[in-house]
Amino acid sequence: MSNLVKFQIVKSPFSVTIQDAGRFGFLEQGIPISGAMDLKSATIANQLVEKPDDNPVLEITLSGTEISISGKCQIAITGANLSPRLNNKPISTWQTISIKKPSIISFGKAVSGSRAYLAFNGTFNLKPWLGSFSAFGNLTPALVLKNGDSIEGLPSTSVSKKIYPEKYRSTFHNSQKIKVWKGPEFDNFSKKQIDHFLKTDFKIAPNSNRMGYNLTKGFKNYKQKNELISSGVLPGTIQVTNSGHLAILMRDAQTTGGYPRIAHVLGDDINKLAQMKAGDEIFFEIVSL
Amino acid sequence: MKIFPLGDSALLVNFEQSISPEINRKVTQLQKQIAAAYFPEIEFMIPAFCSLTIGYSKSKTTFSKLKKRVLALKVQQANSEKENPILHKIPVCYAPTYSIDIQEVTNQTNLSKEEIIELHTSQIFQVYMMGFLPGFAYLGSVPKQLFTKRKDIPRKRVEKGSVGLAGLQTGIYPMESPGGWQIIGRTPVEVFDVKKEQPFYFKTGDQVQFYPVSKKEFDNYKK
Repeated sequence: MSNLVKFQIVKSPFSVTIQDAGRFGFLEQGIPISGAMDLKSATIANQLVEKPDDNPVLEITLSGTEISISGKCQIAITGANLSPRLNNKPISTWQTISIKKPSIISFGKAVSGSRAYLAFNGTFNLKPWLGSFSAFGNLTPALVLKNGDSIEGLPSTSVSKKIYPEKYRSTFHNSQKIKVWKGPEFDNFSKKQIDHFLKTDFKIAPNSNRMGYNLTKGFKNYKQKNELISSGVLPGTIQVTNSGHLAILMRDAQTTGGYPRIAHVLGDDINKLAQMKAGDEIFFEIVSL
Repeated sequence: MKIFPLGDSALLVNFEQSISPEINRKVTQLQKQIAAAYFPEIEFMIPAFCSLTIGYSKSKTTFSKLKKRVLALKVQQANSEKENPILHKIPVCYAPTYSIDIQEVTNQTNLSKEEIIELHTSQIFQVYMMGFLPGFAYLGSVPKQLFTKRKDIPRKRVEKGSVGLAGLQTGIYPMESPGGWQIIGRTPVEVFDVKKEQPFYFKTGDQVQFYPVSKKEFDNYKK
């Protein structure tokens, strides 16, 4: 008898995606890095089930997802507090959870943050694409789980229960300061524009996703000095479009772009941004190298 | 050569900011030099028209340390042997079914269809950069007479294999996608195949020359 465990998406208003630490080998071919939006939370989820930091995990976005688990195994849930319940009883996150029988994990209200991570103490029956298990649009259909889709995994030997200390857990806020370094084209902007950049409470616009966050309150009457020649961009790059809008590129961002890069979000703060959603507020702070 | 940080885990090497085969060659040369040397701190590189983005592991180095190492390489560059880029010969069918924007290109350039095809097939282009779509190669430079503006309103759907013009660039759509390039033909060559272990036909620095084929040759190309 096989002791494979099946994870099935009973329902999910947004797709559940498989993500690892990212796909790094093919940026020069135009393939985005992808990977868990909040890498830090995904890493901790893996540590709680004693798996390597870059093991694939499930990324669950906002409320309303239900996942059935067919049998005995261990999991851990970290990241956003999406009010998770196990068979309709609240369960604790940031710790190893033992599933003892066929169960349903359901995610309710998004109390804080917007992306939760579910790590599995086992090996999912999945094939990597170009060396990574991270979902990338239509090219990796097996890594994007929609209503009714399922994946199987072979559980590993049980590990002892671990709890990630509360004082070290990330906390998520609707209004945050985001640390940046100056971008390569920072000096293309006027003093007035830089003042606006540093003194505005930008809001994340509704048309924001894993590729990038658009911000409200861009530069008024913006005219770009001269056309730039396309060059590398990365998660965290803040671009100013020709209409003066600011956009922060996120994990699924394209690899090159032609807009001036005013600033770049520091690595740890990309994880913070990953947990924010449309309507949330951010302020930029330039830190020195 | 100017070096900037691009966040706390990448540096950007800017060469003279213009589009030319020589400057682009410097980009791929630096990339090769880095690949051939021992740089365990480097996680990826993004060669572009006239810049190289280098991603590094924060736990293994810092911006200033890596900047020094890259600048040290520059000195050796003069001694590096001559490049022998791969030349890809790519068939293109310019038949009316595929050259759907030829009229617009004719209007913009005052060239006949024959002249457009002649200019498009008589040059050896260089892959300046990969990007936009997986496997999409920005090829240039197109002769100035063939300069074409992008479509005002991008098409919602450009077919896979479509060959387009934009500014002084030309390129092949590796898959069906929205796009604003002026489409003048189609190639039967698969420049991206998701099922292959190495799905990509081109890489930055390769050379490409198009040659015209008839509709019949196009149809027979797919064995």
